[in-house]
Amino acid sequence: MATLHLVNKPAAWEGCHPLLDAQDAVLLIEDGVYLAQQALSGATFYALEPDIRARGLSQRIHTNIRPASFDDFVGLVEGCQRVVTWSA
Amino acid sequence: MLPETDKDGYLRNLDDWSPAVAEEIAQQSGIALTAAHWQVIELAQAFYRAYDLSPDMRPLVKWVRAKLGEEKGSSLYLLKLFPGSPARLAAKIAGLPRPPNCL
Amino acid sequence: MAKRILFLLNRAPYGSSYALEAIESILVAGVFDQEVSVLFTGAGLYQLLSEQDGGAIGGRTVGKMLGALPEYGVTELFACRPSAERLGLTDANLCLPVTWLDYAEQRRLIGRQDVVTG
Repeated sequence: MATLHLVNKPAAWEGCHPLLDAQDAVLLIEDGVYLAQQALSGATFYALEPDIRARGLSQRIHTNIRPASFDDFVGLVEGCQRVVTWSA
Repeated sequence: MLPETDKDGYLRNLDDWSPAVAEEIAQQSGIALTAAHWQVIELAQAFYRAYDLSPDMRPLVKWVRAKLGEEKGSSLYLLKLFPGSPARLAAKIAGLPRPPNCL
Repeated sequence: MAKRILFLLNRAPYGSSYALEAIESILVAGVFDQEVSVLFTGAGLYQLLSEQDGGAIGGRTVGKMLGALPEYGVTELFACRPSAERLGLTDANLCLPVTWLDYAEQRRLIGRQDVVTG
């Protein structure tokens, strides 16, 4: 993984999407998890599971997006070369 | 009498500044202003007018060097004029806000 | 050891303190001799509009403050060309010279950084 992109609002997606590299990962957090209801392309996608559950979205997450625990979050941060936080 | 300042001695209202106020602030800091001081004070004010920002040490040195040449554009020269923390002292005497980084 | 730091500015200048805080962070990075670059994208391009006057709302002028970046050793200023086209902005509208980048160039710019921040 080259860059980990953190997206915490649906509106931030517009800025993030064009700058994704195929080797990047995107972690949707907070209100960003609402984006996980659709197929997203351009990178590998994760969505923070507690944020999904809190919002009642568990049954609505698209199959190409992987749920991530807080431990997974830490692992993603450790495994990347840099983190970009997107907020609109 | 000195116009209102904050707890660190910077003027609250930049419009209150005058050369006489500068003399007074300088005196309180133990500095008697000379022509050399005034050159730097005026350059700090010009920097502020250009950028809406009080210069920190590094940009002040750079700015002074660009306008007054190598000899005066050095930390040592500014330290002699404004001992301790030149950017902060010069800003205070020039009636400008505290520089952002204060290094 | 100097780090390569990219400031990615994507928010408009006066609606929040975001732009002012970002400028202060950039100046600190410059003072500490880091390899700093700045990318203006989306509404962040509005920070570069000429003829801003923050004094009209009792504040400082973001465009003028950005002019100080070269004084702090920050000279790598980039801007997103697709954003500018979308917003109808060209060099003629901006108060500072920037290097325009398309998306592929921005991806490469990000890929060269140690740190990317807002």
